[in-house]
Order: sequence, then C-alpha cells, then structure tokens
Amino acid sequence: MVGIAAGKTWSRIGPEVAPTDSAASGVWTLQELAENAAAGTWPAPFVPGYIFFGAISPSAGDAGTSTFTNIPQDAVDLVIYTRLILNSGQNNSRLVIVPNSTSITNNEFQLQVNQPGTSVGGNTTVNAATGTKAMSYQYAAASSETSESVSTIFNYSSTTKEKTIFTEGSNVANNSDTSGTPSWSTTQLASIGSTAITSLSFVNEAGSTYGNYMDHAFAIYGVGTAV
Amino acid sequence: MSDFEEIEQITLSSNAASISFTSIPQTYKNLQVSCQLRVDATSFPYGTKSNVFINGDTTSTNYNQFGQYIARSGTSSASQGKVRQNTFTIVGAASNSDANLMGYTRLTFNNYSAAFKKTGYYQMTAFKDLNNNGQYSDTGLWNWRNGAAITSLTFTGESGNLLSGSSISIYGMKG
Repeated sequence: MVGIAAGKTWSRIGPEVAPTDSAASGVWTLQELAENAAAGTWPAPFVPGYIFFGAISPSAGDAGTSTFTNIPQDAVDLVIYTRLILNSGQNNSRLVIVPNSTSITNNEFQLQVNQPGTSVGGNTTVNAATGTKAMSYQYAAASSETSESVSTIFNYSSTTKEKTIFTEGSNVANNSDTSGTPSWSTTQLASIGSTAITSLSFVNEAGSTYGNYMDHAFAIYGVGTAV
Repeated sequence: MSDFEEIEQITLSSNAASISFTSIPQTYKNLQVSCQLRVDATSFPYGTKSNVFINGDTTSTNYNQFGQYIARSGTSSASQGKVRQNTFTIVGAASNSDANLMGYTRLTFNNYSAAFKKTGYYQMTAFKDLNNNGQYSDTGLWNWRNGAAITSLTFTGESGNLLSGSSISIYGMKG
C-alpha cells in the first residue's frame, strides 16, 4: 500500500491487534475483514435461532463432574442433549443437571412420571418431590447400554424470571427385551431464583464411572433471543 | 443465516387480551413456538390457560388435544390423567403466583404450509409458587381439522388477560 501504512506500531492508528471471534479493534480493510471472517477469526453477530454452544465428552472410566462454563447469555432457552453409559446397573445411579454449581444443591420442586417396569405397560410412578431428590436427572441404563435425555431450560438468561427445566429421557436394560425406564419431569430450579444460568454441571450422583467414551455426551444449544 | 431461525418474538409491556402473529412466512418446513405466560386468573392450573387459535379460527370443535398430565394442588399428592378436549390450550402462571414465575410451553407445527390437516406436539409446565404448593405438567399432541396453510397464530387468555412480561417466540425450521 502506498502512503502511510495502517496497523503498524508507528502508524497513526496504533498497533495491530489480531481479531477474535468476539472482538475486533482498530481499523480494518474490507480485504482483511474477509480474510479473517473466512478464517473464523472475526466477530459474528448473534443470529437468534438454534445455536450450538458447545459439548463435553467425558472419557471412559471418569466419575467426576463435567461442567460447562461461560454459557452465552444471548438466547432465551437452553436445550441440552445427554447420552451416556454408566457402570452402575440400570436405575442404580442418576446423572443430575445442576445450574451454577458443581455439586448438587437442594430446594428444588419437581413433578415426575416414570415407568420403571420389567415390561412395557408396567406401572407408572408419579412423584412430587422437594430437596436433593427433586433435581432434574436421568437414570442410568444397564451396564454397556445407553440412557438418553433432552432437556429445555426456559428463560435461562433472564435476571428477573424463575427458571424451569423440562426433561424427557429413557434408558434400557438391554437390546433384547422391552425393559426400560422412560420418564419425563419438570423441575422448578428454586435454589437459584431469578439468577441467570451461566454454567451447568453434570454430576454423577453415585460416583459411578462412565462405561464408554461418548463424543458430545453433553451437548448444549441456545434458542431464540433473550427476553 | 441459520436453518433454524427466530421469525418473531413478542413480549408484552402491559396486560393485553392476546398475542398475535400475523403473516407467518411460508418459506419454512416446520414451526416451533416457545411461550412463557402469566394469565390474569387465579384458579391454577385449569383456570389459567390460554387458547391457541390458528388462522383466526375460534371454533373450538375444530380442534382436538390429547395428552397426559400430572398435577398437584396445594401440598397434596400428585395425580395424573389424560387430556382429551375440543380446544387447544396451554398453561400459564396465575396472577397470584409468586412474582417472576411463568408457565412455559413448547409447540411444534410440522408441515404448517401443506394442504392437509394439521397436527403437532406440545410440552407445557407451570408452578403455582415457590413453596411447593402446586404444579402442572402436560405432554401430548394437538390437531386442527383444517387443510389450510397456517398463516397466523393467536394466543388469548381463556378467562383473563395475558399479563405484562408474557412472551412468545416463533421459529422457522428449513428442511
């Protein structure tokens, strides 16, 4: 470029600072913008929709808590997919979803329907619970089998509204019979009140280990525009 | 651009009889709707519902709703039962619910622009207060016995206004 170059330590507009996906300071040419955008190093506006926020993939043998921090606050709802294998035996342990803490708190209110039957059509259990047993969770499947759930946390980013999580999930005893525990539940996250949710922990309550590595065992998405 | 994007969000800054989305674009395959409502009524949960009207059709017998609910009134044990009705309704928090509580619902409108009768899935949940005194949750499906493309949605408090702070977002899914 002819003339006084920009972006140099001796230029009139200061030193060059590399852009990131969240900020770009200084003066940039359209060519530089295009190059950085193509490289994924240019801040993109938040487009409300269904946005992948990130995932955690615990290793086989892990028993510890998995925590997703710095959850973006741009969306209104969070959708969380979990799929995992626990070495505890069917229904002998629970994976608990805990907001803004790395350990199970308490003071939650829950309604739950589940069907821990030995065959399809078994009895349905209806629970209304409080305290630590009222957290949003899913039961382990039989060893080497998968349990899955999908949860929605409504209004997670609000600083004025209470938070509710709705979870549907199921596990199986094995692939050759009809035994399983489908369930759905709704939990009022009273322990955090109207505080925005900025982190989520996935706590293996009984300390059981994960049976297999599962890519993106916990995946988190943001939906819509924060209210 | 996204394959799942927000079309419109309406949040009430004051009490209103309804929230309406008109001129819904026909350029998506499916719609999802996320609702958070408070209703100016106190008979939680069955008296704090909002009607859902498609294309301005307020004839209740044109709708069906089937589901399974679980409910708890006061500190009593929870009970469950079936939902089978000739209306399309979703739950809101009550006007005497604790402040900042909302009733939440997620709805799907699959193939909403196609020329056949419409159906979709719903999940709804609400809590009466923060003292464990009342809860409601319900999952199931709705149908509308009409083959017209869905171009508008209206949410109207069944027995009272929708209260300030109520908010509804609609999303379009390509496919």
